[in-house]
Amino acid sequence: MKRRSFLQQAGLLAAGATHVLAPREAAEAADARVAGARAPTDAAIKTVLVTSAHGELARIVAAELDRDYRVRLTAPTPVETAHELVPSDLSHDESTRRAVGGVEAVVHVAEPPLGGDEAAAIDYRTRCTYNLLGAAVEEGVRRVVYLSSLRTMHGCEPGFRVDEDWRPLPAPEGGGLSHDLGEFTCREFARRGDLDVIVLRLADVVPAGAGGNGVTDSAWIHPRDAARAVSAALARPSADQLARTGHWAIFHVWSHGPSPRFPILKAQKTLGYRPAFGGEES
Amino acid sequence: MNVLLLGANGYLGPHVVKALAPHHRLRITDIQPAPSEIREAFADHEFRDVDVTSAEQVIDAAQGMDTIVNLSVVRRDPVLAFRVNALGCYHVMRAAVGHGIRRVINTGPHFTVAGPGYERFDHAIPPDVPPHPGTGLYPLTKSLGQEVCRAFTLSHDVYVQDYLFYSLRDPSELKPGAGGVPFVVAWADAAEVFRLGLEIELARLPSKCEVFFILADAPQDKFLNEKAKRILGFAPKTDVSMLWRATP
Repeated sequence: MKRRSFLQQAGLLAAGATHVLAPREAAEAADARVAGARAPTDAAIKTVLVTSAHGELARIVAAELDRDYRVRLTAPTPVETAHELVPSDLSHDESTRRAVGGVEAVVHVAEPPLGGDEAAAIDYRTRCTYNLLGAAVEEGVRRVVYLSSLRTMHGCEPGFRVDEDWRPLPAPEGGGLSHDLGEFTCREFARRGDLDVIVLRLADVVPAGAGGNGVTDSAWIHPRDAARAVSAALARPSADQLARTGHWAIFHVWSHGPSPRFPILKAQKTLGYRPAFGGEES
Repeated sequence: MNVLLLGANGYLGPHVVKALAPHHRLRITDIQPAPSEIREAFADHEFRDVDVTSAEQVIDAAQGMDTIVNLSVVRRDPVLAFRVNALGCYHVMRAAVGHGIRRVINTGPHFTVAGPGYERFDHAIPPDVPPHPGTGLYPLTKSLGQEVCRAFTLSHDVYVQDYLFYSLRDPSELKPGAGGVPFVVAWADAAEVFRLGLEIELARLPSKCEVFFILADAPQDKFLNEKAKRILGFAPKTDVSMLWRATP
């Protein structure tokens, strides 16, 4: 009933089969991969949608997930890729429903198309996120991983360890506000219980080729570490665990943090996240 | 005081114009031209066509103003609801900060903060609760706009009062025993709160971002108007309680 109610509010028509996320299976698949077991059969492979395929981060996430999932990409304009691509600008239309149709989970990279300013980022991370999650609810998707930013927390008082329990304090400029609003949008969907939302607040993502060299004065994350965190967020925590936390979980994630300001202990404990780039944790 | 009114040609706008016009110099704007009777009745004030989805238009309209009152709203369009209700607030706050305007009054529905998660379950709901708008297009986008305003007040010297309404009525529509949602206020009383909001010293506001429920006294005690009374001096004149009185 809740799903139908949402669809009526959003003006979308209900259609299509219901797909049930199987995070326990995904977790087992991830564990099996860690243990060197054989890859799952084609029939067992689940499809995951990755958005913002126009950006480098989405492509690296797709490559990481390709080991365990059938990856579908979406972007507002055509991009060269070996993966399935469903073009969509994540508007309130059929293309967004096609993008999420039949997928087990969505990884919303939430990078606006190039060339936009903060206003464009706000529009993309609110309106398009709303359309994406609305369509995901309609199509029975059970898990969404939203890639946010630690910039949402930059207004928090210096001198404290700012973990996931802190209230976001984004500056109106610099990208933090648009991500905060994206999280806000996701949170309302999670609150309804129609799907599970995991937010990964990433430090500033460096180019893959940079390897973090020369960037030492602030927290940063290599896109391959970000991709590993995404993979872990899809595989665990379990749906039961997320149900106990209101279908909602936030993790701070970085490769290198020269100060202990944004601890990643929760990601380490719950997701088993270990950065491969950037050296030891502060 | 020079006051910019955005979205002033909707349902509430003309009542606000009527309440403020004797006391302030108004720049009355909307995406739609004002009706001729409004232009004639308030000919000594300025009228402009302004689209709040345009940062340039909002910033230009705010030039020389002391206060911005944002009455703009889109309820159902899946694109414009975001661009007016959420992004529009971003443009308003940029304009305020850019022009050194310290007083902004924003508006929205009660479920900007008190969505179904509160309304279905609770009583004595105050405006100072964590916002739970739900996933409805209208409440969520208005709540996003409120979050934008909050972010600016935390970083800049600007104060936002957010007035939230639900059912607005003409006194002639108040029929004894007719019932209705327990969050009702007469148009004139709703408009009067804007005059109060322009008069209050900013230093008397508890913080730089304050939310107020604007409703007349209702017997159900479901939503509270105590904060608006205590801080703004809100004193609704129209008694709406007959809506719920038992009729012989």
